Amino acid sequence: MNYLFKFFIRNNINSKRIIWIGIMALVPVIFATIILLLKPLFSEEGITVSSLFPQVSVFLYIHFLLPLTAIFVGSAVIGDEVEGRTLPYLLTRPIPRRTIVISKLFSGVLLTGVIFIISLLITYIIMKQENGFSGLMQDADIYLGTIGIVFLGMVVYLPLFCVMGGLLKRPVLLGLFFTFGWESTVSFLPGNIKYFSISHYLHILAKRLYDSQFTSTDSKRALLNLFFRSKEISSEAAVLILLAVAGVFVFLSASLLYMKEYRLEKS
Amino acid sequence: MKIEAKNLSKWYGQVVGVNNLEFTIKSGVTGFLGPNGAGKTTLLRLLTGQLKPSKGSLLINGNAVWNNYEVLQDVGYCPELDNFWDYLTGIEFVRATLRMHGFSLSEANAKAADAVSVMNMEKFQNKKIGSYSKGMRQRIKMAQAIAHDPQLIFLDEPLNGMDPLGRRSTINLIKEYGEQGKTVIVSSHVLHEVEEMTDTILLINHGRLLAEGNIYEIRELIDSHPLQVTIICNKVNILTSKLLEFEDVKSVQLNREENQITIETLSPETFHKRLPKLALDNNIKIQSLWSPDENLESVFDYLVR
Repeated sequence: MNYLFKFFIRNNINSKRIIWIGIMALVPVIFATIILLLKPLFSEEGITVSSLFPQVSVFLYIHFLLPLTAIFVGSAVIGDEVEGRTLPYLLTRPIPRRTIVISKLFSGVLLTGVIFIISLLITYIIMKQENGFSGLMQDADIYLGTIGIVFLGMVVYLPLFCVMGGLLKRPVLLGLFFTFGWESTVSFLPGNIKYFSISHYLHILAKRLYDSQFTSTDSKRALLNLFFRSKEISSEAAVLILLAVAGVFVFLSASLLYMKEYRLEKS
Repeated sequence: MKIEAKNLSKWYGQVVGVNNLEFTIKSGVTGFLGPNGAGKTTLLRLLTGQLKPSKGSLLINGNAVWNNYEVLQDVGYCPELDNFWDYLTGIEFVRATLRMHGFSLSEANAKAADAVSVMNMEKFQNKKIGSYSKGMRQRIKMAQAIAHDPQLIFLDEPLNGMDPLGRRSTINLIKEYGEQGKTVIVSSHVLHEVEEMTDTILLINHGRLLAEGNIYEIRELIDSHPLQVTIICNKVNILTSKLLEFEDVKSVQLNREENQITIETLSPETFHKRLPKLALDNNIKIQSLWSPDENLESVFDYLVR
């Protein structure tokens, strides 16, 4: 497991996908820079750049970068070896098939996690720099908390898209539909249907994290509340649910390679 | 090592990969012989646990192969697919597969170096596989199959794309492994290649086992199929009349414009032995001789009929 994990990390680093994820991870950084450049416009409204960090995190990281990256990395966990026709080298080794999948999943989580940490750090510094170093340190818990949420999201989304990648011929298409169709819509709908979306639980965690940033009358809070309507369950419960969902999909991913055959044709 | 297949079938939807195979393989070299699309690769994938039998059983030393990774401990496999993690160098690739097999870094280093040396790839071991020629890729693929010194080796068309020297050394290596008591299964669609490696073959076509056993018996079976031979020479009329005197020559077609005759013989071996003397005695200069029928495809078609 240990070697496979390292092998897949290297595999990921050498794939073109990592360049694309790196480019995508620049989007929030560019966005933060634009906000910084437009600082005078926000000042007129009494809004500080620093106070917009939660919105940027939710919109760009939790809603955009996290699922999009998960689609590309998750669907490639098995898909890469099938498309690259390198699967026989893995399947004919005396290693359990679940080890192959889990090693690849973990390597994907770690690698994308590192990219997110860097991207978020740069975004955080850009947006929080107006308060100087002490301001950066003061809100470090916000940065670390956001990292935690994104990481947790990756742990759930990646195996989900891995299952899609193992089962479907066009996993990216369905993944995009799921992310920007189902996930983006359902979590804002009234009633209980929102409990069937992963982003709903990530929103709960984000709300609790960013709540400390605003007073109850804060106008920006009202904007965030568009996303964070749920108060029904605790953060701990949300984390547990997300981990349970992740567990189910990790199990399914591992089972998939265990049960499914891959008929690889010559290229 | 003992491999046993009982009523083994594999189908993909409506397509039959292998059909009701029944065989036992023991140590030594065994050739899976059959034309392209015969089911050899499917069979090797079943044997290496990549595919699950649709029906019947497949056992290695009494253990089922599908989803039984422990059986693979002593198995080496050289796939037909010409695909790699191209960013790796040759030695890194072999080392990586050894590490996946559970060897420590120092063991993997030593074994990879040995395997690369056996396959005469030392000179190119530090180049990326992406830059390798077809023959080099084939040799590095072989290296990963033998690096962990397995007792059971499956080689899917191992000589494909190899240069003559590479072919020769690989054939010798396979024979050597057989003599050492390892079980080596080699698939090929070229009869003479298999003949050089082993006496024992399984003849497969359309997913069915046509014949099993000693290559000479199967050779006889193949030889009983009328073989066409085309000859271009300077005295086609004389050669035609002389050839028609022999009973084994079933027919002769003459093409005077191109100085070419095509005969059909029931005894290719006798025909080939007789021809040089016939040419010498009658001062016939043979420019070329080939057998358009020699490809396995037509022989298999004949056997299936």
